[in-house]
Amino acid sequence: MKAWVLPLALLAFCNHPKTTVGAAISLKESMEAIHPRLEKSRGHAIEFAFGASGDLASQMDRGAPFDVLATAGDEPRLHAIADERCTLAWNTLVLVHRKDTPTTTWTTLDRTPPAFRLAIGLTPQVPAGVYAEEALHALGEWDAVAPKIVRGTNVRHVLDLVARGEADAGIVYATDVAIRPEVESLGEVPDAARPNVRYPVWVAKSASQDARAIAALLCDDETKRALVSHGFLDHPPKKNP
Amino acid sequence: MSPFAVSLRVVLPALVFVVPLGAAAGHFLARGRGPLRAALDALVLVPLVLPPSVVGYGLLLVLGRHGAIGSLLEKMFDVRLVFTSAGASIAAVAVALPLMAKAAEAAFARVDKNLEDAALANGLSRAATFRIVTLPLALPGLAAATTLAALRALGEFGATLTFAGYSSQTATAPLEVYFAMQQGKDARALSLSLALVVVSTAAALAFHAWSRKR
Repeated sequence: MKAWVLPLALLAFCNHPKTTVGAAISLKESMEAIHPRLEKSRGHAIEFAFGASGDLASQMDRGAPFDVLATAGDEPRLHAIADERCTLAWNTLVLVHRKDTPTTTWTTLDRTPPAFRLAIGLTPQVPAGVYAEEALHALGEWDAVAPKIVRGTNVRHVLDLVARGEADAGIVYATDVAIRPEVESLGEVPDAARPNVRYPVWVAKSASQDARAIAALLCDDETKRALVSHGFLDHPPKKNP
Repeated sequence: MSPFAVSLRVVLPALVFVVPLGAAAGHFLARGRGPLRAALDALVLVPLVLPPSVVGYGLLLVLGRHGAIGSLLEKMFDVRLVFTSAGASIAAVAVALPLMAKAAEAAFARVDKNLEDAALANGLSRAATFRIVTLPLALPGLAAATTLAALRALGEFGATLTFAGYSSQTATAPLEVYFAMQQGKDARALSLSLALVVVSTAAALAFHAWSRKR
């Protein structure tokens, strides 16, 4: 083989123009829905990396190649390396269980039997877990519920634990419920404990023009409409966040 | 509880099953013949080479709350495995038992069969021959096998996370390294990693000493 073949082959792999966008895993379906529009308007491949927002923020902080990131809440470690461009959408928490199992409610979680398992996201990297802890504290149930808590590594893992029946109930976003037919909602978080679940769009301070253009597309009205059609809110879930 | 205390609570009960069962399987692999031996050999090799996530997923399907055995366990004994140290122990057994069996097979295979035959010819029963001749000769090899199996159980990550999940009871040292790293707690991830390196190196040196003894 001639010596120049290898570098050329490597170039062929590397040189495709491609932008990677990180996104909270709760946005998966809605981002996949707008994916064709993003690619069409930019004229090149765009790839999404989905995961727990905190994991994506750490990866970006450690040099992962995404210049645009949509998280499910504020990520303080991004402040030094990225700017917030807009709020993509808002969301709300729901309590879920597997359809064929006994029901419970937000306000009786502290009176469940000792073997009861409540799945929430791993904190601090899973925002849904952080919001769930906030809500349980606000309801005054945290101390009673803490020993019964099991953790999912992202909000969809929490949903899976409930869908498989390994957890008796779980706290996820309202938009997650429809993903798994085995799971049903037991109600939205009570108003008094409702956290302000907000999805900011971040652009790295060092981002290319192209990445900035993609962020602008994520912030436009058409994206907002797509998110609303997937059950997200276009306003904060409570009056005074 | 510290991650190493959790690890001990997971690994020690696992070894109670792994060591005798693995030694018995190893003896059969070394001395047995025929299709049954071939079947056991395959049964032992497959989990050894499968991705731990596949082993863990398989355990979840069978032993999870809605699995064939898992649902029975819950109905009859009110036992749940996912998120418990018992579940993590089962994951450790699943990955360490095959290694124990293969290493024990090597330990028994090194025992000179002529010595066993001589003992039998002199009127010793099969059980007495095993106790007086085979076992003492195989012991250094079995100690080495136990070390390997214990290290594999201590280092278990994939099957544990897939099957037993991440809870206070399953937060073993390897899982804590992973989650500490993800949260950017590098000091914790690094100190746990170094501790694991030290334990493994010490055990590897012991393994070396034992496996040279004959």
